[in-house]
Amino acid sequence: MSQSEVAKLDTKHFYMRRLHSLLGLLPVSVFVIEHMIANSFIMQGPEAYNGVIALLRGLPFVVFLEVMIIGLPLLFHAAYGIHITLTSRANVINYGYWRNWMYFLQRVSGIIALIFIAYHVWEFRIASSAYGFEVTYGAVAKAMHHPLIFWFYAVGMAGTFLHFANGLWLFCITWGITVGPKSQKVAGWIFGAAGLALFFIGIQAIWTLSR
Amino acid sequence: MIKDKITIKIKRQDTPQLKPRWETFVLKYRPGMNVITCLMDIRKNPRTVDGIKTTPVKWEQNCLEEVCGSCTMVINGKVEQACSALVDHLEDPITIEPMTKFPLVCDLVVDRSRMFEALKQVKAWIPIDGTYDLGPGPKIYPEEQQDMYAFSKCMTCGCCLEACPQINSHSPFIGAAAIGQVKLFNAHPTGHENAGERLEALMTSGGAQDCGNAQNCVEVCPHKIPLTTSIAEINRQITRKLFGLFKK
Repeated sequence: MSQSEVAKLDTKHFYMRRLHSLLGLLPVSVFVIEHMIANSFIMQGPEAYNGVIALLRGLPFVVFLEVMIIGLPLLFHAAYGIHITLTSRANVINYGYWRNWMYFLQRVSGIIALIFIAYHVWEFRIASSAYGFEVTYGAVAKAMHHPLIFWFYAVGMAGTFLHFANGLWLFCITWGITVGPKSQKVAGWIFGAAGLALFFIGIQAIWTLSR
Repeated sequence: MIKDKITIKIKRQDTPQLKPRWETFVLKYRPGMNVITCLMDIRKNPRTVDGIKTTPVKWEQNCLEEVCGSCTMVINGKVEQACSALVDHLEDPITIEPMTKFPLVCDLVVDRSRMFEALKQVKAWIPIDGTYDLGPGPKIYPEEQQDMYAFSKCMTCGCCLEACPQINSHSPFIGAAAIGQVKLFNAHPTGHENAGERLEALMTSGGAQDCGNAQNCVEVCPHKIPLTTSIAEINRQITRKLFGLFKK
């Protein structure tokens, strides 16, 4: 049997790939933006920040929302992302074009983001609930005073927001929104600026906490 | 700078089973040389730099004017046609290797039949055979003609597949060339009739979704075919199909 006959009806990967792309935007990217807006309350001091934490923690059906809207989509995105990474063979040495580097960095930053987010969720959500310590301005600030944790967060956020910005750029191609090179360039600037802005909020937050 | 000698390093392999070996040749420089003329000079006197007699290097060539694609190889680490790779533009020593993404036949000869298989898979043709005269086809306006002409220049040379990080033994990706042809035949008013079938072929394993948007294809394409534009365009057509808005 030829290769084309085997591949004939196998549309599973197509739908998985499109789902992976869609979940990257909705809900994952939208949640990341919401998370950074919440973080920016750190600028207004401990009381404002603690108030936001209390509000979010007090949402009705909060565990259901966390699992269904954040946890499961993120897990699928990560698992399928690892599969995609395993099918790639980077060649930036011989073909050192900008977009080829971004292709490579999208995969590297995805792995960095996965490690970072796994630790972050464990530390400030799962472990804190399991061992009953409250996540407050003071508790997070205490963690950020450790230089190793501070730098782990800085690198983790750099990876996350690079993956975020380039991922949204890729979303626009995957769904055929930006077709030509001109629109893709404009999208690159817009998402690049958005990624940088969120990274700035994140760094500003951990910087304030570590003082 | 005027050089009188050039050094050529060639990756040789007699059969797919044998291990590859490197042979170095030193040639007398002549103005206007390209990689094909270098290979021809070696063939006249196949002797390595150490004076050891060897077999002539095997390679494929046909048109010698960058329109057939048969002499595509990896020159100084980048894929291109040997006939249009001018020695004056290449760094010395010049390394020549066969393409790595296709089964090797011998020396610089590879088997590119997967590209033809891909064209068959996506139905890169327009079925007009019938039992009666269908009359003249619909008009195509010059602007559309220009848009389509770029894709008609594809010579299935394999540069886009060779430079693509998604083309490897762990990935079933079909490659940019076939996707560009789907764009071409779907854009044709008569070919449009089978647009849905071509899109379905690109929704299977290894289809358009497996593109990682490294965009090396458009960088290395010798005919500057807007391959990445065609991939995004096909993604758009598939999205429309998904939403049921695709008109046959």
